[in-house]
Amino acid sequence: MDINDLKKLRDEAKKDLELRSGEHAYKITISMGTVGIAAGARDVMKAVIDELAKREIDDIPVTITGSLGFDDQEVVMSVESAEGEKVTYARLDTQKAREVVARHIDGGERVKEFIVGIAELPGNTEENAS
Amino acid sequence: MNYRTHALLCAGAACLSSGADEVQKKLEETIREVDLKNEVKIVRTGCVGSCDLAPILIIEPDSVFYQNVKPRDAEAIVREHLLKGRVYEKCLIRDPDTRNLIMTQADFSFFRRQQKIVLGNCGIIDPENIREYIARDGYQALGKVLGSMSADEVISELETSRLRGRGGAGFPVGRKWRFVCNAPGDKKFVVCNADEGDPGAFMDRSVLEGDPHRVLEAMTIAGFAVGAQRGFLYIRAEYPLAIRRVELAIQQARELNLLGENILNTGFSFDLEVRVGAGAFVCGEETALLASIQGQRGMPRPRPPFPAIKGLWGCPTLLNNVETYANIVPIITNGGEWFSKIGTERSTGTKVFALAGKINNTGLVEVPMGMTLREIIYEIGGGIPGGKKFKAAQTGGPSGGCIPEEHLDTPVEYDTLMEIGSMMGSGGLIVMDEDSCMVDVAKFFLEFCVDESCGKCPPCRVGTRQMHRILEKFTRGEAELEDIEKLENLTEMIQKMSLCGLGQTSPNPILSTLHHFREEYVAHAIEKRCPAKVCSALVQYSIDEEKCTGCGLCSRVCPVEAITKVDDRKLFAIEETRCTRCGACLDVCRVDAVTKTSVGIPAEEREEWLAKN
Repeated sequence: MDINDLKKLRDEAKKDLELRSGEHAYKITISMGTVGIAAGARDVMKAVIDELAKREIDDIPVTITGSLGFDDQEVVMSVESAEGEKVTYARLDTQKAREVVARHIDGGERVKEFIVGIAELPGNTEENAS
Repeated sequence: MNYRTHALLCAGAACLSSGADEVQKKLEETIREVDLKNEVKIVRTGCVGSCDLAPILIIEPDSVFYQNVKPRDAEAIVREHLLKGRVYEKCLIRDPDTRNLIMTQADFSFFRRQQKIVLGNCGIIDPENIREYIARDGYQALGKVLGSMSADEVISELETSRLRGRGGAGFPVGRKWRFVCNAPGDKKFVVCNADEGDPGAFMDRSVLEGDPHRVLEAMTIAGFAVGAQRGFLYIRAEYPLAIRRVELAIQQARELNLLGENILNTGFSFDLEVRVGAGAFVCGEETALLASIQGQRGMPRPRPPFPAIKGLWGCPTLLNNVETYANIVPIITNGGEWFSKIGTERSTGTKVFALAGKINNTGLVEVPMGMTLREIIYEIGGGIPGGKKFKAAQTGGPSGGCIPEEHLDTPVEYDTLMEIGSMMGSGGLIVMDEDSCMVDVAKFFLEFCVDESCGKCPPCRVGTRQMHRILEKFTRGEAELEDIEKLENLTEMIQKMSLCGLGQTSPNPILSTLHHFREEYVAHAIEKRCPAKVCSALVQYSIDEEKCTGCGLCSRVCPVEAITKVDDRKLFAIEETRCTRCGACLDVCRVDAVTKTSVGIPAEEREEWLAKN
């Protein structure tokens, strides 16, 4: 191994640790309450992870949260950008979730059809700055 | 494999002994049960630092900080947090003031004021996986040095950083490297002193256990800079986990051509070996350490010649402490200029302290030099438990001294600590509250030196024992005022005449307590009184008749049957001639009827007492 190989190895290994660095372009959060699970949130999450892997996107953390209260609109998933914009999608299934990954995460365009809300999080940007 | 969650389980020494392995077993078992094994990766990391909260589990990317995790909590965390996304509140920390739950490490005051350079990877990466170190830019500094720097440039960078040795004395590191570099000879060695011996200090251990590659990389850079071909890590046998992880790290580095022949195809060859020490304190002294590596008895020799000129097998040898090496990689990566701006003018960078004693948050903390003791103890350490009063902080281990309250606002630097009669040492910081007797504390540290004296030079071998004898007289109430003077004479002689640092600094705990707490010595000598009520020969136990309910608990636990019923009433009293002052009755009494006092001999009765004795 020489110095260039070492750099290559580092870039490759970095992907495994992205999750722990705390700086990501987007963060996906899936509502995983009892209702969410009943509506298929686990399958949606697996589909999201799979779609990210297929597209070789490895720096987007996928995390879960308790129920958000939209019980009739599950599965609910939000995409939060580094700038603090939070787009919430609802009534997802595996197919729709894959589409969100493809268009929003990979393509950078909001998937209007599934959106239930957009929130700016000013507090978040401040935190990122500090 | 793309995992969505990393469960970082602290596998530092404190967490392992609090059952981290069982927690991991339960985590794995439950993760299998709920079928999350393709989504969750368990990573065993090095020490997170807050050792009183062990075992610790951090869930990423949410950064939720769980403490005191028992196996059944591990199961709940998997089922609640990992499966359903609900934070498991039982294992969160609570803010001691507001009682609010604290979710992440960043929100916890213990971590907020810290600045992690040396411990930058500890608690984040898996120390047994070189890939994770490389992912955090590991070995890039070595690549930079071998690919584009000269030995002179490396040393200049260190000189610019003004890094000082973290082993205790604070010698400028750049200057030391320059000495070895300029020393004549083809054969040179690089040695790492990992013989951490101060009671209560465990920062070197945590670095080796949590981020071993950082030290290996720095030693390889050192080898290049001073022109050495081989290096040794001298680690004490009491640190088996550190030894195992360092050996594993050496093996992994060799496999990737980061150690051994022709490193990274640059033509530079260097290799490292672990030498296990038997845990003698004196082997932390450089000449004794080198003797021990050579297979001889660990005893110091007079200097000069210094190891930089004549070290291992008579060859020039660079010897630095673990924490010193742990600073090298960040300096090479970010430049000496960057490092010199952290900390203070005379002491640059950060220092790792092992907080212990009477303090709420114990563990490892890394703070920029120049922070005051008050900030470290109260803001990071969370203050003294039980509303007790601060009395002194002991720094520098058995070679250091006690710092009283009036110096709490002194910035922590090499020179300022020396000025107030203590020293940085390797970074042990033991906090004492009003219940500590300073004579007893001095005796404790001296006892350590008596045990650890190698016996080569009489001032240390005989002198420390004589000082200990005199201190014992104080604690037994047999000392007189002139004993203070005797002590002072002895300390001066031992400081001047001992061969090595162990003997030369052994009087420091006595000198600093004599300086700051002289009245306690006087109280022991003249009044036969221990103000902190610690020295058992000088305290008395009694039972308050008003408070005693006659339950008899004290009488039952008394090992010498000194507590009996008073005549026909249902009360108990302590027979003083029989009492051994063990304190069992005090601990057991539920109505606080047992009191401990140290009355001594009042001044007006002293003449009479003297005549009698």
